[in-house]
Amino acid sequence: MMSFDEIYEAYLDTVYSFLKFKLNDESLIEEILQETFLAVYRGLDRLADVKSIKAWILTIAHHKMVDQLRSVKFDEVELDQNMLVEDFSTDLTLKEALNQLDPTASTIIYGLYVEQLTYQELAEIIGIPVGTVKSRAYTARAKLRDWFKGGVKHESRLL
Amino acid sequence: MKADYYSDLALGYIQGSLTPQEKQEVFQLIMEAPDFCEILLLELELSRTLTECKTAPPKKTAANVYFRVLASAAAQPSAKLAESFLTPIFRASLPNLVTWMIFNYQRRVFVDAR
Repeated sequence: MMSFDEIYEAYLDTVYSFLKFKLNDESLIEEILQETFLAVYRGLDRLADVKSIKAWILTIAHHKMVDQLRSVKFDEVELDQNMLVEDFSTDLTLKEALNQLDPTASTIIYGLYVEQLTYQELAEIIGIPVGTVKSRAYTARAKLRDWFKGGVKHESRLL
Repeated sequence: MKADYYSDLALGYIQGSLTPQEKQEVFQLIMEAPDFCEILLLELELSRTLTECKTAPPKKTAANVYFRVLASAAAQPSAKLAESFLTPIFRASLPNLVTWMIFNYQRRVFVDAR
């Protein structure tokens, strides 16, 4: 079984990258990271029952992020405008596309492509049915593909 | 939907998560289905671009979070410790305590009834 230090070493980048993808505020990210890994530390005895450590930790991180955002009373509109990443230095055009996806769809896309999670794992992380994850993924991917082809570049909202 | 199926197949191929039969199907589709080839190329582009989103935390953040987690864990008694300490006490004392309470309650009820 992995020790806390090994888990921290192995999954810190994954959790940080996920939070950085979703949020803009570095101090908030640090706070959520701390709460997430504290929960991991306290839940080490449950590790034997966990199928995928990455999905388990990302589920905790997602819940902590939602709790934090609720506690500071950010509604969806404020979340979109103030908290989501605005500066995608890697690719400006990708930033435009991803910012037009709603938060759940962008989480699904991130999970599928960056962390290579399964639909089942994403359903557990976000807390929605697998079928919904699939349909949201198909819609978002189709829109992103269209967008890559240049079709819907200036549409106001992708989903 | 064919496009959805092709998308999953293309993504699975890129991520290397397909079974040998599915891989065989991909090779066949590459030869025969131009619409699959188009989806595969776009999925490759999407995958490549999105993978670049991955960012590592600054070293300072990594160290800060690590020490704060350990400090928080040490400052508060863990649930496991509390459970291992309190559970045997409750297990041993609660049945007696509840029996005593029921006994006293019954006595009071019967006294009041008289």
